[in-house]
Amino acid sequence: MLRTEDASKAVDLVRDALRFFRAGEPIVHRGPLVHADVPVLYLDFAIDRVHYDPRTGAPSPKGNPVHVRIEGDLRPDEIIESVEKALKEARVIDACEFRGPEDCWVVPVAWKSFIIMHVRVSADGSELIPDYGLTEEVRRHGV
Amino acid sequence: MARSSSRIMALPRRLGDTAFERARGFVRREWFLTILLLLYLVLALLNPSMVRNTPHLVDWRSLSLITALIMTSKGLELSGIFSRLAPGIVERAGGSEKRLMLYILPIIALSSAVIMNDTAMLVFIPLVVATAEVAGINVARAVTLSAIAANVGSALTPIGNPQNVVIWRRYGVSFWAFIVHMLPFFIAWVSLLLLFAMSIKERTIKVRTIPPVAVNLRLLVTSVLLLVMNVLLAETGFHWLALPVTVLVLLTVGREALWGFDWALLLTFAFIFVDFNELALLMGHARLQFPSSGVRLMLTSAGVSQVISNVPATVLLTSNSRPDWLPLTVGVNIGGTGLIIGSIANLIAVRIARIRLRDFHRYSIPYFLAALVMSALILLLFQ
Repeated sequence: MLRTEDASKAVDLVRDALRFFRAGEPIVHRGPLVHADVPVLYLDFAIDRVHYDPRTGAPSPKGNPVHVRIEGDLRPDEIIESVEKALKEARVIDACEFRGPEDCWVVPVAWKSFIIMHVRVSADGSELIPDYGLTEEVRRHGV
Repeated sequence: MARSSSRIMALPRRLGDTAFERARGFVRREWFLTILLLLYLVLALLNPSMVRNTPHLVDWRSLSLITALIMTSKGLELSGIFSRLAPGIVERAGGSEKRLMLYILPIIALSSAVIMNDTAMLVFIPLVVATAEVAGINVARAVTLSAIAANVGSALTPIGNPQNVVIWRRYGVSFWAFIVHMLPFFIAWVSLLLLFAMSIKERTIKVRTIPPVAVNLRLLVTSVLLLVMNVLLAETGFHWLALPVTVLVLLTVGREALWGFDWALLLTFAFIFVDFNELALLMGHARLQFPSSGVRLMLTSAGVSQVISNVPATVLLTSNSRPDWLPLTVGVNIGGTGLIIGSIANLIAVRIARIRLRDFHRYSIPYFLAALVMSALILLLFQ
């Protein structure tokens, strides 16, 4: 049975971890249209990806990767700087949802009025659960 | 803004952009491999028969063992067991910067002896950076001392870094004999590093706790068993079995470690063997020789490592001759500190932490010089 106390613990855990989150090397998906995601790292694991909007130079809401035509190339340093800044301004939403198949809480993190990422926490609210797939992707990109 | 209009910018994209940008991205990301590829082209121009001999220039046995060990290390890393140490280290430090470094440096050194120094950097540098940034301590100093800890810690065992794997396999030194011979140097180097850490002024840091990450038990157990198996296979002369068995087991129960493997690193090691074995051949033709024993060999191998990195230095020095393994091992391991090019672990640390080279060298070069003198004295004492 799920308890509100565990959900609160999960939210508090993400709140404690938030200041340690860092922006990783952007993963730029190229093609006729380009879109860039920035993995958010906690220690050596990726937690979730933040969509980057090259037109505004700021994060895009979760669920809205921005596909654009661009001339030249996106500058990774600028993207990292922008997402680092957003992470400093980000806050943890005071409630979470539960994902049965994964047996974990999902805690939303907001920047301004956008939810930009989700952080998974174990059912008892005691451990952060990395996004293993994204961590592999980050490693494949070399660090 | 309408969804459709938000998806396209007015600026046109040139057809050539993608290929050019990808090539530029590759060079930026894999600049060490790019240099090796360029060196290969230069050497092929000097000696066209090299192209035909390329497969013979690769030390396939060492390469397969290094690959198996890196995959196993990757499994241990992705299991989260080393990240799990982070909350304990931070809590024990009790808000003291000096104590934090005095706890974390030996842990990095000992971990590197088991999971390879490059992997140790992937695990610990993010922890060091995150803690240092939040606590407001000197990130460059913390990262540099951590990179040194990984380099000197990995020197202890034959599986700590790729150059040790090459020496272990080529000389047939037993696993335990290797450790026993390297132990005095390991103790001296770590003690010197702790002396550097002791010089940090005592000050309170704000970080007292850090949330834990879940441990993937399946991957942890699989990786530990694979690590033990790989060492046993290498010790008993069945090192050729290490890679196929590791790949098969990971494909079955630990695919994360395979998918997260940096395949460009494998290519990098292959070209290190090709380029530097060829270079050693050319040097042999020119009758150029390196010292074969004692302090001179140690100083030479450390010096060459400072210029071309320590794995290439090991290949270069052992390709045509068989110098004494201990001074060679000491030299190429201490040669991993000092200039950033000394070891790939340094490059990984600086890249993750995004610190300036000048800041890195401010701490790494004095350490290298002091450790070099110390190593020469220990070698003289033991001879």
